[in-house]
Formats: sequence, structure tokens, C-alpha cells
Amino acid sequence: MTAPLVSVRNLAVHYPVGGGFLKGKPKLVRAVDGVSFDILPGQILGLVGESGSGKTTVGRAILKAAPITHGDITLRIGDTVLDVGHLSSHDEKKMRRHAQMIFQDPYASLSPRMTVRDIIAEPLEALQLTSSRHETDQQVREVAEKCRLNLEHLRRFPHAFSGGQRQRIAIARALVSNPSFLIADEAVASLDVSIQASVLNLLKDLQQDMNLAFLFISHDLSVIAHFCDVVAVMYLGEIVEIAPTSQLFSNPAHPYTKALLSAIPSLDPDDRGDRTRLTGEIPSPISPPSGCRFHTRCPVAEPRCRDAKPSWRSPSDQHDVACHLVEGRSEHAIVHPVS
Amino acid sequence: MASASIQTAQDIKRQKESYYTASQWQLFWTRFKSNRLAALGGAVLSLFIIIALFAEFIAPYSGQADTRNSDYTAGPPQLIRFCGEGGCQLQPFVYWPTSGYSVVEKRYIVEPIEEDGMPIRRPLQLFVKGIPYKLLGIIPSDRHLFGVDQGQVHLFGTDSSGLDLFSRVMFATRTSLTIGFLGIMISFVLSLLFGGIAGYVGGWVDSMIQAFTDLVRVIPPIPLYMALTAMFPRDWSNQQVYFAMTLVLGLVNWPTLARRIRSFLLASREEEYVLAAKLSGASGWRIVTRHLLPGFASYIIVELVINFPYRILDETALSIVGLGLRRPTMSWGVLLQEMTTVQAIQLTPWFFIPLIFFVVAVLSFTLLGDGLRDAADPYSGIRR
Amino acid sequence: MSSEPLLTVSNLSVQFRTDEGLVTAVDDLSFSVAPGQTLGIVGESGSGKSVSTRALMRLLPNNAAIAPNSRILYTTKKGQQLDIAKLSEPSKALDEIRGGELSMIFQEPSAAFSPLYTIGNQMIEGIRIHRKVSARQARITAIEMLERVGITEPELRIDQYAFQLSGGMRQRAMIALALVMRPALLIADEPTTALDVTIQAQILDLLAELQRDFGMSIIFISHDLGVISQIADHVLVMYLGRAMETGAIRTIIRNPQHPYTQGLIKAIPRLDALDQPLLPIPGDIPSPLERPQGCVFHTRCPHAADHPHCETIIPNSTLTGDKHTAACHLLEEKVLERSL
Repeated sequence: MTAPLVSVRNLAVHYPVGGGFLKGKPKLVRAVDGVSFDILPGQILGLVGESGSGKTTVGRAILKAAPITHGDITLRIGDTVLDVGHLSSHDEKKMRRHAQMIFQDPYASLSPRMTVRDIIAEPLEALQLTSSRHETDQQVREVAEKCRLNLEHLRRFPHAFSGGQRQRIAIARALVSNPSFLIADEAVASLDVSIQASVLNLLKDLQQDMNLAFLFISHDLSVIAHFCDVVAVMYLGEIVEIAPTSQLFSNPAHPYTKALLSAIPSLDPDDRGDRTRLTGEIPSPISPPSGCRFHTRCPVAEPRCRDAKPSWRSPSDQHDVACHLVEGRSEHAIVHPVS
Repeated sequence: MASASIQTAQDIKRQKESYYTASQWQLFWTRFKSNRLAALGGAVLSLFIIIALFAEFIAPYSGQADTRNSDYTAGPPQLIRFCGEGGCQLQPFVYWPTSGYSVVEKRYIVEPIEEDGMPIRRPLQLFVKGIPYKLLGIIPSDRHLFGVDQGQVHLFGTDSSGLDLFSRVMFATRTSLTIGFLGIMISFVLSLLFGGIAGYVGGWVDSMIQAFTDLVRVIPPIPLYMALTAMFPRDWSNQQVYFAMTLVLGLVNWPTLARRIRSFLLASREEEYVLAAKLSGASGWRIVTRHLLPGFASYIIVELVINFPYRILDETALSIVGLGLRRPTMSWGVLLQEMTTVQAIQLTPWFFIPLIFFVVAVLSFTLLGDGLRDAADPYSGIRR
Repeated sequence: MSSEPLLTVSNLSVQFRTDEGLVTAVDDLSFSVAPGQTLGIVGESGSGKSVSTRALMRLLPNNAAIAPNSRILYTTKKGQQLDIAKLSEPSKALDEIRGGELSMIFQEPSAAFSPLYTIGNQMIEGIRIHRKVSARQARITAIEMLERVGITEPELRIDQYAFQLSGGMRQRAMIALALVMRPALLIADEPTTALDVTIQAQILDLLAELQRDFGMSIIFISHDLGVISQIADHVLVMYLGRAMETGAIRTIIRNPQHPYTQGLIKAIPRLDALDQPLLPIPGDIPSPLERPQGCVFHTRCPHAADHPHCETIIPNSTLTGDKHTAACHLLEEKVLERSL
């Protein structure tokens, strides 16, 4: 069995909101609460959830862009294992080189005052990975070509590009340091459908070429289904179900996963009828519900759901669900790597 | 029209490419150029800056007691003539008049000095020799832009003690512009310091600095000016008062700018491209210099230009009420103070000429500032 | 037989004056909405779908102009027919159209609610502008409408501000505000795009239910063909300001005729076809400043090389089936062949 590239154990991210100088005690937002998963080299883990589920915070915590309240995140590079929570500045550089991020909004994530060449070269220059400007240019051109960018456009500024082209620039920036792990945070959410497909295909090709591991964060189950090997479903700061893609979509076990799937508008106009509709909205992460956090909206909730946190069960191999009503081997809350 | 349509595809392509490869500065400049009023403001201001830099050369006289024309006190502007009694000539000339206050008629009377029954003509010449000075404080010279070979010429007339108003306005332009410039620079440094720290560090440091800034802001500026300038010892030299004035202008005005710098930094610190740079491994220094400062620079320049006329206004206001600079220092405020008499309105309206300079300067700064702001933020002015 | 359409738009064109020049946002657009039916307008960014519906309510910004030959024929509740494109601004007729006849909901409820007034203030104001009723009566009507759209404790919520509600509730409140004057036509501009899927499903259900009860027509704008598929009877597919294809929803989804619609459907990731690769439409959407000559889609169309006119001549709408039209040179030819 291969060792995982990224390993997240019991991650919690809590941060205060409000409060401040003479403004009283701040409230604690429990954005992420006890999340664990592994990502193998070359594997794509999809993280799906509604707004407020904490999926973006998980991604940022892995890249040390959100405070880790407790839990462990490790990143394996070659033979060394980096503890993201406690990085020396040397190790941080190493981590930045090997783990990169693609953002949702390609209009906000590119510096408007830098040329495309400078934007893509940023990681090389910031981390001093190249020895000469010539070498930097060489690598920028290589990666730009890979991302299907016109090399003549490297002198342009971002304002000259459409959303899809900008996202390809952002992808090139993320790949220029030759990383082994990418976090894509809603990377195609702001793109038009016809463009979205081409960016997804590009990402998939690059993933296969470079054997990249991905944490693919999205609210869109259909995109997740097409792109990911394994899917983790998040609700209010917790993972409620994790399984290989085909298994999750053919055989969803958690009532929340089922509801999410049933809420996706079908392209078939005759498929409008009866679905499980969730009532209400996602509660505030400042005071999450007791027991199973989903019990306030769950169509099949029982009294025990309110009182006790559900343990992990495995209805089938490699498929873990945190729900009282699911039958299966009851295991300790570990998440095994799925190969 | 036809030539426009023959424009080749190549040309269009090149044009587009130059737009695509235009930096934010270049786009800024293109937008700015298309704003005629702002360009006009800019041109007028350039003229003022030239005046400020080369005041000794442009002014024919020193505007001080040493070049006083005792024969022509409170004299009106002299007309540049080509024709007069006895025919026309190609070289422009002025008459050589005298003026004096007539107690009987209760007004100044101007009479050209005559020779052989004809008024004396004094041909106007360029680059005439006059009092020596050092251009820009370095190059010694005694040439002046224009003048007459004998006696004096007063294009804007003279004041009540016979000092050349044109020269005085030139020197006053220098004083007022530099005082505004130094004042704004001092408040700029202070606001950059306070606003920059508050905005970049954030947290409780920000809260403390904000509290202090607010404390300074809530004191009304006019009484504060008055209190500060009233503290200047009477025996201070003009130079001391001058520097003290710049300091006062700077000290009173930094909080507004500091607040703007702070909010600008707070906002851009949260921009996604800053996080993207951080995740690319960029250090704090690199983020500040490569990502924040370029956007910041245009913003700051706009802020400074927009604030400039207010500093000039402050100086002028203080000098008019007698709390700022005093004679013999020449500033717009001092000159305007001299016109605040009924006598000036009735008898010597040319004392108002400095007012025109002052109004035009403030207006030009405002136009330029607005133009710069619109160019820096194209969305600010679209809503009509 | 079909009843008279409620709204008939013909040859609608809208242009914007910008610093970069004249931008055509909507170009020669024609469509109609039948009473009680839902027209879905689907399109990507720059398709002009929002602009065209804003033109219906004359809610365009100052730098936009509706072309003089555009017609927006609307039959009021009283049976009077008028051309909205020709109404002067401001006019009493326009005031009556807005809110009383046509109403709009947006992606962001903040666009509909002022942060300075309570939900009740705004609903009651709306009611009393269009109807002569007492404030008390208007309040009762408003509470009933809030209850009708599924807002719990409407007596309490009516005195709250929109920003105090959760996202889904705010969307419901906006629907209540739009429907309180019982408009004959509701224009819904991406009303579910900012919502989570589970909330989106709730809102779609609610709209369908309200339509059934009130018998109003809906124009539903979305970039998401799946959402359109769930709510629309007819669809208008737009690209760069032009109508590509129109027809009944089932026909368009199952038997799309225009290469753009075909491409769009193939590009959508579908849960029922996980093993099939995504097929993107090649290229990028051209900038509105660089509208292609001829058929606006030819720069990305896989069949553009097959026909000599694609790059030069704008194709006409061709009737390809029952109420099914598509604007494509290839189809013109096919239809011609069939008729010969």
C-alpha cells in the first residue's frame, strides 16, 4: 500500500469573529471540527458541501493559510514528512513548492499590475527555484504551453483575457514549480459551462501527465463526479460520508448525501417529480447542533441523533458514513486511504 | 474617412496588442489624456511650477524694498503698446509714468513723463540685465526674462509702497506652492507611517492608532491652526515662520490621509491575489513591494494632488487673518491680505490680480486631481 | 389551439455606449410568452439574457439604448395592448407596468431590498402605490403573501430587515415582494444561482407552486440548463445577444438542432453519464467588443467550415419543427431540401 501524500487527522479550525478592542468577547466560529482524510500520490479527492460547510477552510488549513486549532496535517515530499502545523522557514519553502492552490475567481486571484509572464513566474522567483532569468523564462514557457496558453500572450496583462483564459494562467502559475499536490478551490465554479468543460479536461490531462494529487473543492456534485476518484461530503465543519466516486453516487448512504444528490436539477424535463427535499438551511457554525449536526434538517432523524454523535460505519469496503441509521461495521473514526 | 477604412488588419492587430500589453500605468495615462479638463489643469499647473522654479528669472525685480519704485506708488498696470502719440513702432514699449496721491481728487493720479512734449517711450526688451540672482540657487545670473533699459516696467502695477506687483506675484507663487508641497509631504510621511502600520499590521495596533487618529481628527482645524500659529514668537524671522507654517499644515492634516491609506491597505491585503502570492511562497516584503505598492502608488498620487489645494487654501486663510506669513515674505495669502481694504476695491483694483492666480491654481489642482482619480478608478465617475 | 401571447418581443436590439465604443448586447431578438407559461432563457456570460429582460421593464442604465424598430407588445390585465418599448420615461403607464403587470426577482435579494426599510415597509408601499387600500389592509395582504411563500412567523418577519434573514428566506421574501401586486408576468433573473443546491430546489418548487396558484407567466433566466429544464415550458437559447434556438423544453433537450445548443448540452457534466468524457465547445466566448461577423457562433462552431455563409451572413431563424426554430445556415439548407 502506498503511503499517503497528504494526511489530515482530526483537523479543527476555530476562529473568533466580532469582538476586539473594547467590543466585548468574540464568538467562536467552528468552521472545521474534527476532519480526517488521506490523499494518495496522484489521487483526486473531492470535497463537496454547501456554503458554510468548511470545505474552503480545510483547503486553506492544509496550505497554512488558515489557523490550525488542533489536529495534524502532514505532507510527504520524497522521504521527508512535513508537519504543516509546525514548519521551519526552510520547510515552508519546500511545502510551498510542492503544494499549490487554484482559486475560484480568476479575476481576483491574478495581480492586475503584473504581466502574465510575471504572474506565472511568481513561485519560481519567490522561492528562488531558478538560477537565471533565462531559466525562469524557459520554465514559464514550458508550463504555459502545457496549459494551452498562447506564448505570444505572455507579455500581456490579465485585463486582456476572458475568465477561462485567466483560469488557465492561474493553473500555469500553480504548476510552474512542478508540485505534487494541488488544491483547486471551486476552480471551475465561476466559468461558463462551455468553458468549464475545457478547463476540467485540461486539469485532468495535467493530472495524468504530472501524476498530481488533488484536493478538489466544489459545491457542484456533477463536476465532482466527473473529476474525482474519491469524494468526501462535508456538512457544518464535519465529513459525513467518504467513498470512492462510483460507490458514493451509486449507493449514497448518508441522508445528507442523498438529499444533495436529489436536489441537483436534472437535465431531463420529465424528471421533475418527487424528491427528498431538505427543509430549512444550514445552521450557524457558531453554535452547531448537538449530536449529529445534520439532525435539524434530516428527514429520517431519530431522538438519538440529537443526543449522540454518530460513529463511523462502513456499509461497504472503503465507504465510511457517520450516521446512526446506517448499518455496517462500526469502526473507530479513522479514514483509510482508498486506492 | 477612406484612409481610416484602409487601415490594414495588421494595424488593428498591433493596436489591440498594445492595449493588451499596456500596464495599469499606461491604461491610467490613456484614460487621463482623454480627459480634456484635467489635461488643461495639468498644463496650467506646469506653468505655475515653472514660475515657482524660475521666479527670479521671470520676475524683473525682487519685489522687495531694494527695488522699490518711489516714483510710481500704487500705480496701475502699464499697458504694453505698439502705438501712441507720434506713431507706431514694431518694438513694444511702455510709457514712463509717475504716480502720486492727489489729496484734492482723493485718488492716485498717473501722468506719463514727457520730453519735448511727447511721452517718453521705454522699449520692452527680452533678457535684460537686472539685479543679480542665482537661478535654482546655483547658476549665478543677472538676466531677467523681460524689462526696460531704464527705470522699471510694472505689468501688474505696483503696490502702495511702489513694489512691482508682477514680481511679487511670481515670488508669492513660489512660496505658496512650496509651502503647500512641504506641508503635504509632511502629512504624507506621517499618514504613511500611521496609516501604513495600522493597515498592514491590523489588530490591536490598528485599534490604538485609529483611536489616536480620531483624537486628532475631532479637533476643528481652524482654531487649531490659530492656536499653533499664535504660538510663533513675534521675533521669529520670516524663514522660521515659513518652516513652522509647513510643519503646522503637515501636523494638522495627516489623519484624513492616514485613514484612507489604512482602509486601502486593509482592503487590498484581503485581495485574493495577495493570498495567491503568499501561497506561491512570496515573502511579506515581496508582497508589499510587488503586489501592494504598485496599486498603492497611483492611489497615493491622486490623494496628494486632491489634497494640495486645501493646503494652499489653509496657508492663504491663515495669512489673510494675519496669523501666517507676514510682509516682507511674499505669498498669495500675504498679497491677498493687502487687498482687503476698501481703498483697494475703490482705487487700486489691480491689487486683486494675485487673487486670480490663487483661484486659477486651486481650480487647476482640483481639475487635475479629479481627472487623476477618474483615471485611476474608471468606475468612480461613470454613474451620471 | 393556443391563446394569444401575453408578451411578444420582436426585433429587440439594445446597444451600450461605452468608452471602448458601441457594444451590441441584444441583437434582433424575438420571442413570446404565453399566459401561464414559463419561458426559460439560457445563455452564458455575454449572451444578453439579463439585458433583454431588463429592457422589458425599461430598467436599462442610461448609456443603453433600445433600437427604434424594437417592439415589446404586452397585453395588460385589462386587455389593453401597448408597446413597452415606446412608452416614455417617466410615465404613468410605465409605473403601472412595473410591479403591477411585470415584476422582477434577482440573483441577489439585496438588489430588491433597501437596508433602510423593513420588509413590511416596502411591501406595503408597493401595495398602496398600485391599489387604494388602507395601510392596515395592505399589511394583512403582505403578511398573507409572506406566509404564502413559506416564511415562518410572517407577523414577526414583516417588521424585520431583509439582511436579518437567512439566504433562502431572503429569496422568499423577495419573491413575496415581487408577487404581492399579483403581476401577470414574473421575470426571474438567475434567482437561484447564489443559493446552495438544497435551497435552490426549495425555491424552484416554490416558484412552480406559485405559478400554478396565481396563473402567472414566468421568464426564468439561467446559465444552468438543468435548472431551466426543471421549470420551463419553452426555452430560448441565447449566445452573444442573438437567439440561437427556441422551442419546447423537451424538444430542445432531446433534439437540439443548433450546433451551439448541441455543444452546450454535451459540455454539461451529467450524473447519469459518469463514464462519458466532457466535450467542451472549443475556443472562448468572444469579447462583446469583437462580435464575429456572420453567424456569431461561427468562431466556435464545429460545422462552420461546412458552409460558405457562416462567416459572412447572419443566418435567419428557420422553423425546424412544431414551434421549434433555430438560426443556422446548415438548417436553412436542410429545411430547403426537405421542402423541395
